Amino acid sequence: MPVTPATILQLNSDIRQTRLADEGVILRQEEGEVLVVNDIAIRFIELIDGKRNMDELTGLLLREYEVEPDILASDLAEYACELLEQGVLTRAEA
Amino acid sequence: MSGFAEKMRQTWEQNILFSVLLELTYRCNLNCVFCYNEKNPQEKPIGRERYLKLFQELKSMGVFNLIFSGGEPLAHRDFFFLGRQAREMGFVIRIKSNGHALHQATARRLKEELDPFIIEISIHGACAETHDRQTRVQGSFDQLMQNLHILRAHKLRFQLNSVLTCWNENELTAMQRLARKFAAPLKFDSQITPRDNGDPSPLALAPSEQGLRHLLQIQLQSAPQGQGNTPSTRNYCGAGASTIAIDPAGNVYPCVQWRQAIGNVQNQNIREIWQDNAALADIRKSNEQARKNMLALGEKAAFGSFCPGMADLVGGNASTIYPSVHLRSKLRGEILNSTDRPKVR
Repeated sequence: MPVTPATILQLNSDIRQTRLADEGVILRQEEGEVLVVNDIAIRFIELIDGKRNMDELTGLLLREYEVEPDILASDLAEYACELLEQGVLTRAEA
Repeated sequence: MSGFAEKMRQTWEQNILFSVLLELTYRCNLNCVFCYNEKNPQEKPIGRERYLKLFQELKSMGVFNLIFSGGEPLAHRDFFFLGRQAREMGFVIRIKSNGHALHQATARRLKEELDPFIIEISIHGACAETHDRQTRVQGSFDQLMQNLHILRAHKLRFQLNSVLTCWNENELTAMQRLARKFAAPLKFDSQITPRDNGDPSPLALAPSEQGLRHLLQIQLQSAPQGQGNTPSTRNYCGAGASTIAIDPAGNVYPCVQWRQAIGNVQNQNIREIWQDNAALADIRKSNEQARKNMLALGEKAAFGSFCPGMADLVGGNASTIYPSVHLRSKLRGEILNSTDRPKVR
């Protein structure tokens, strides 16, 4: 199922994350696996709350980062798909 | 270096507080012969409200790991309350426990309410005779074995920790077998320490040279090449650089072993303690000097065997190499030079 502007995501309950020296560290507790992600990726993950949809998240990030809106939206959708596959994110009930 | 290893190196290099160990209480349901805790501290313990404020301060500083320790942390009356709060705030929860009280109902609550990343459980031998002799509680080994099965059934990740003593040094292989049975890592600490009040009586259980040699052989066999020896940072360890320990009365130390108080969270904000602290700056300098002193021992240096906190306790100087490190380094050198040198994977 594709990630669209209306998609609402939430963090899987086993995910723990923090910022560390301009990057993000994500622990997948169940797998015992750690991911290191860049600044914009950890900000995206921080903003995911199971309520805001992808369009709203993109809007929030556009206020903080100087990027082309279309490129950001496309990159975020692709990244969200990766995180869904990895089990970091799940789809929230609409 | 992997991305995460690089991040850990950064925490040491840039003094980023990443892990905080909380000694919630010194109460314990076992009575281990070599326990280093002072059993009857007189100071007023931290209250529930102050813990919650502390958690908020730590979260705002980006702290990731919160380690609940003791004594036995489950013996603290607010253990589950504090654990739930820590989970809600998004900390990675680690628990150091003797495992004695982790029966069915408690294990279920742990999983449902705290969802810890890992529980580190102390094991003292491969059989009841040895384990119970060290814990001085009859039946503690059998109880632990039962509880480990329960933890496994609840999908609670755990590792086994053991202190090498002259009583259990002949059971290393059997303990490894036991750990494999539970698919759990087994970590040994070869250094018995005096009690926090300076009482040296636990040292009577120190392992023999033969026992140490056996453990070093096992460790050299299992360590990937280059790992566990020379640290790639300017510090010897993370004490006071990326970690702190806080005792039940709120005293803050660079680590659980290094009992040089750098402040107290009952009357100070933890951020204030972490920044612009002359005592902590001295500790960090000692930590750097300790690394230089260990490097000076050359290739044979048994890096994991030195502890600045132990050095401070036994000799009053955290960077001075103490005799048992020289012994371990000598044994390591002999093993590395011997014809039956273990093959590194």
